Amino acid sequence: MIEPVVTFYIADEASVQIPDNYIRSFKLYASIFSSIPGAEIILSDPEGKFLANLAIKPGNAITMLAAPGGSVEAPSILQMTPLRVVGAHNPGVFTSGEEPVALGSLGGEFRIELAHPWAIQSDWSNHAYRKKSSEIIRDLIATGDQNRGFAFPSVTISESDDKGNVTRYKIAESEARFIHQKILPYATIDNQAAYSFVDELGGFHFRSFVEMYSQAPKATILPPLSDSIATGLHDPNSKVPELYLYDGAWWLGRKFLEQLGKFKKVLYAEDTHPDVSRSFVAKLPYKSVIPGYTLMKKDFIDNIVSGTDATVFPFRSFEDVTRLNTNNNAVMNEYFEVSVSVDFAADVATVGSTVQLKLAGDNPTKEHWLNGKWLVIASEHSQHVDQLRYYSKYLLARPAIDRLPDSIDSAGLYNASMR
Amino acid sequence: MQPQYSDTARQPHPYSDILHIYRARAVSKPDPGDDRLQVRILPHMADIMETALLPYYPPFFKGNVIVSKTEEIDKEEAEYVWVAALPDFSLGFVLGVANSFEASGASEKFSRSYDYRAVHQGLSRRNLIPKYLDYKNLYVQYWTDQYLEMVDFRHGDKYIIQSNGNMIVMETNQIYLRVGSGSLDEAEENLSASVPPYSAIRMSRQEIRITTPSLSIKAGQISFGDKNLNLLATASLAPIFVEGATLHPQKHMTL
Repeated sequence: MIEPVVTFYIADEASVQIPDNYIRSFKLYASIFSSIPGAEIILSDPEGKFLANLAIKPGNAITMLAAPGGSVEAPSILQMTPLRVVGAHNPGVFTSGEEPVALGSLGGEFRIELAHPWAIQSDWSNHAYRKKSSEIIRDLIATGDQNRGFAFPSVTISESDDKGNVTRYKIAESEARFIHQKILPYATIDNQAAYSFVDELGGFHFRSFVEMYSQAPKATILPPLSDSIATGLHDPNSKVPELYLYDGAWWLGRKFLEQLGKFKKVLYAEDTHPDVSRSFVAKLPYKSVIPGYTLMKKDFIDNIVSGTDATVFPFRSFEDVTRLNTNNNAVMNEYFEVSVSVDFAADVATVGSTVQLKLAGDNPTKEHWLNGKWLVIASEHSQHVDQLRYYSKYLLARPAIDRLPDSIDSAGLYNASMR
Repeated sequence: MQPQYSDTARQPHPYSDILHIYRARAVSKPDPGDDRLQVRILPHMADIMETALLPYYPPFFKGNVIVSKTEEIDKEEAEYVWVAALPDFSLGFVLGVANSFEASGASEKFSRSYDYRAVHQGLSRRNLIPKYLDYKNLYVQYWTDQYLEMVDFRHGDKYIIQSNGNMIVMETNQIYLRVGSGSLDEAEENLSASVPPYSAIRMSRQEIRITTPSLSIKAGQISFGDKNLNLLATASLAPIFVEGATLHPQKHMTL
């Protein structure tokens, strides 16, 4: 078994490695909700060398390479997402503990904030588009690749449902802002909410939860190895990589107030186009994007006759309103969330991929109710302070669960399997 | 950064569902049957190259068709219109032709108005200025250099004036219709006179006065008065006897 190694290079002109012994910790994070990944590196700089030499400046390109660990003798080097320095600061000169501090040097912890280049490099040209949302994004990414100074190493764009009848204007805004504020709200994929993000490897995605969820799991997450072996969850012949838990947490309806509103929604929509001449007050029940149970008391929802939320959408085309409402309901996709920390695994799973969760319950003959396939909606790959170990923390989500504890009667739950 | 210095904080969110007012240049007018106007919202769309995709907005009020000089007619001199639109411009309405900003501030005098002095002179020459006429009472729609409508909102008078001298005037005590602005003096003698003639009808409670180089009436029967008599104009009022019939000349009928 070999340990993973992560190295950083200042890559603008000559590629210069940031010495490992300077790096106290780092974090690289991404999510399916954010247009770009970000990162933070904390360097140990008791003598203020980085400030004195101005070795790292805002705008610097930083290359992050990872040699994943595992049983492979010579693992391939993984190039993580490109990054640029967007800020650097030193929170205090006297924070270096036992290290000798050269007073007056402004030494200490040197914190570098990094972001995907899209944060500062974008094609700002103005354009009008009248085509399907997915085609607009495809054009935008392809054209931008020629103009913004970098190209996405991989692009995954699913076909959107809209007919492209509404002209979208990209005016004085970045590509990412245009996508997130003017395209994404009105785009659905297979009538499901659409997500646009850049993963930890720099790949661009425009996809639906269902489409991402339908992928085969990239890894199986198990209890710590000894427990996994003891409970029989460990499969030495598994072709799917097994990742062992260090730490974890779970949430049920974390965004409760927001999610409660989605169960029975009243929608006021008007299509002002004279050819349509329709005004609507629609009552929309919640439909889960994947089958299963939602842990919400059925009679609680049923007793709220007037609905659990109401929204007004004036001045929008009816097509835009329906898709906006679908995207508005996307918070329900995070109804169940589990956070898992494992050894560095960016080579195995990134945001937008799926993993299989296998936990041990009280009764070894029955599967834990959390077990099953989950979508990675956020990740953080990190080196903890002063540790030479690397971790990956994944936030997993799904809107419904496959199985219930024996004590729970599914008849009392809101039926989320209506899709 | 304080919000007032933030570029984005100063602007409405592009996903807002609230209509905002923008100025736009008229780009083109679609074919008959389509009441919309294609506009280029400025400064936002100043460099949008996809002209065909610039927004087509309908008039704000039903029953209106708003037109103006478009980029299609004159790219440099196209007129501005006001539009009410969503901040992402996916929906909008044309409110009407817009005045340009003038001078440096709201307190500056706006002088780009119609030529009231010329209008007044034109009306005055034709005895169309009632005693009560006051510039401050005139509601004006100055559509183009060629056409103007005025309403005296206190007295209900209406003026429709074309730059070539045509006009329809409805005042409290008279109605005046006129075609042309020329002189009648030469035309009275010569219909192909060098100065274009004019024709006018002035109607008051007391009389109708028709002024024209040539009056033609095409009718099967012409009746004057209500006595059911066959009329004849003579220099005297003495009846004339013709083939056993008595003809009575009409009193006060002059030629």
